[in-house]
Amino acid sequence: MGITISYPANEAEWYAKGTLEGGAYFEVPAVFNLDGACDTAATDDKVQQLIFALSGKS
Amino acid sequence: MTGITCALAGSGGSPYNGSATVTVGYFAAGSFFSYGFETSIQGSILPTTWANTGFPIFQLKDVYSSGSPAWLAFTVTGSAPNSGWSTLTIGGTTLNRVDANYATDGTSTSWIFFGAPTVFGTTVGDTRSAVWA
Repeated sequence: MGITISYPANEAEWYAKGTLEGGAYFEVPAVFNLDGACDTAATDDKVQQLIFALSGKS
Repeated sequence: MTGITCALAGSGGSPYNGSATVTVGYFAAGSFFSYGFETSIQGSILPTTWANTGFPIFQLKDVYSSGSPAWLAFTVTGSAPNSGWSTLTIGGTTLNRVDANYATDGTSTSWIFFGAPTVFGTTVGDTRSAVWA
């Protein structure tokens, strides 16, 4: 099972949401461009950061 | 008099609002080290359950990666929603829940605050109050 991500349509939606490898559900505050659209690449980086943190939480 | 009386724990507010006191412990593993609390690993926390939710608190700590502050981790055992509280204040530093990265796998739930100021210091045995509101 891979990572799935649903990006917010605008800042009001705030979170990128999805599932990680293994099925854990996540919500990450998205990164937005100046025009208000989600910066998907920067948001993907935040998801990777979360994965790193969860792997090293103990 | 007969009937059923229902009473909510606490003052009737959100079950996610409450406080705890952390006695700071230290733990290191690989390129990570941390100050704060983790069950059976470092420090202590009272109460051991989160507010009135019944979720045991698994960890609440500053994590350092490769020697630098990296994130603050708050994890409970169980599947908790990403709602019901707005802020977490530890030792005078307030963090907003909406800025946290949230993850749950059904057995544990974490809120990870990247870039948060360190709140537990580096002195083992110090205490910090944690307040969820």
